[in-house]
Amino acid sequence: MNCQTFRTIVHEIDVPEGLEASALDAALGHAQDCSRCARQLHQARELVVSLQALERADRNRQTPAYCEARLLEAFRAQRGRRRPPAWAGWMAAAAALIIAAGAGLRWPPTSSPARRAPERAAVSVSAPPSSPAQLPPALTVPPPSRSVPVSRGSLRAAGTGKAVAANGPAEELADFIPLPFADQDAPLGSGEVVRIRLSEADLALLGVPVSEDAGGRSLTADVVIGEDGVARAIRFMPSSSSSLD
Amino acid sequence: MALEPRSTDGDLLQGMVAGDEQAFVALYRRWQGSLYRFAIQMTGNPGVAEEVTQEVFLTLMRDPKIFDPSRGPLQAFLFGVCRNFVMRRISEESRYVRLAPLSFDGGNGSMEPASSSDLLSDLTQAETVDRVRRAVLTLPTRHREAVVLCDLQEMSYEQAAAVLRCPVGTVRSRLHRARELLLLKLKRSAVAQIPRAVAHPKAKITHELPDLQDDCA
Repeated sequence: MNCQTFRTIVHEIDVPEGLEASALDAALGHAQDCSRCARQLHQARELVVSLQALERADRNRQTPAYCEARLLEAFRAQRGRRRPPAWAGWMAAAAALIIAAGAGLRWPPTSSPARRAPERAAVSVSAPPSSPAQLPPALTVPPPSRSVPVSRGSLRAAGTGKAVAANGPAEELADFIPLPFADQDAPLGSGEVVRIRLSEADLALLGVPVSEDAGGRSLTADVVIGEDGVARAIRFMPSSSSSLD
Repeated sequence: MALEPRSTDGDLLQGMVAGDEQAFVALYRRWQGSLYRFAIQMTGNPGVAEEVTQEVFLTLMRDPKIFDPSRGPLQAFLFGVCRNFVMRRISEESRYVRLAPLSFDGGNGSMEPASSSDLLSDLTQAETVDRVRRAVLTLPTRHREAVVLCDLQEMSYEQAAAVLRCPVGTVRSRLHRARELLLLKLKRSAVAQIPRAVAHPKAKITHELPDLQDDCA
């Protein structure tokens, strides 16, 4: 080791993580042979001692007590701002009840975000169906030209809260409700979703529970129709679902 | 929340976020001293150091989510925030001319009282500390923070690198340069002390850094 190299490492000789053992030995050996480098090493060690003296002098330095008091005051104020008022819990509970009551009007509960509604199909119910297992005759006529194909998977998805792919403007829709009398195990084939308009009284014929005082108000709904022409599931447009019990 | 002395920083921080006052106090007491010392050693101003220390904890209190444990320990985060505030204050203070010398007599961490039997030794010790402190304060900021973190805060190179957000090698080179500068400043300071030593024969200035004067001739 020469003096130039020694000078570059002189401040790391006494640092535990500073030098490898071989380099340390070489540096100390050089300092024994070179008086100038030995003096530099001595100065470096004196500096470390001086810095340690400064460290000891400052070791017990703390912030004044009033700093902690001020911060504690700020902490309490901050906590007060974060904590909701006592009445907020009751308000939240009341809101939850209202939401739950509203959700009870739809079954199964809506769990998916806004979906795309199918194209409006100009199909209307003109006569009550003859059998609860089948849709009214007016619904079994050839579907509208802009009806949307649907698969078995999508029907199941509808029942589990997943959206049925369809074209049309985005709106908040309920899930499809499997019709009670439909055979869900029958092959869906190239089923379709058609939008219909029917009266509240017609819902009972589809097996959908309705209130006793259901009137003749017109409802809009999407109906999943299997390849065999049998209705499988139904969902109601938001504007018409409020009349259901 | 029952706090144990060995509660981790993470536990205390979690408690603080949940509104636990004891957790906040424990966290503050754990770190305020070292942060305050860092600030005072960097700025040389106890008043500024107090403010900076409070600002660090106010920052953590107002937005604890800014601490990301995946980026390093809380120590590095706190010192990093402290460093930012310190740099800001140093930048602001540099616009003004200091009229009065810095005083370090106040505060809880003042020098320990001198015993009557070794008053001279304590006096020279105090002078040494004072001279080193002033020399550190005159270092360029980059070198100053390396000395303060590694030598006065006794951080490892890795810890200092985490605070400074730079490679370990950078810390080493800055520290090396800082010590060279310190030696140079202390030599000059020792030379300047010689006339005072002559005026006060009992004062043994050469006892502090005996060899430093040799190279200054």
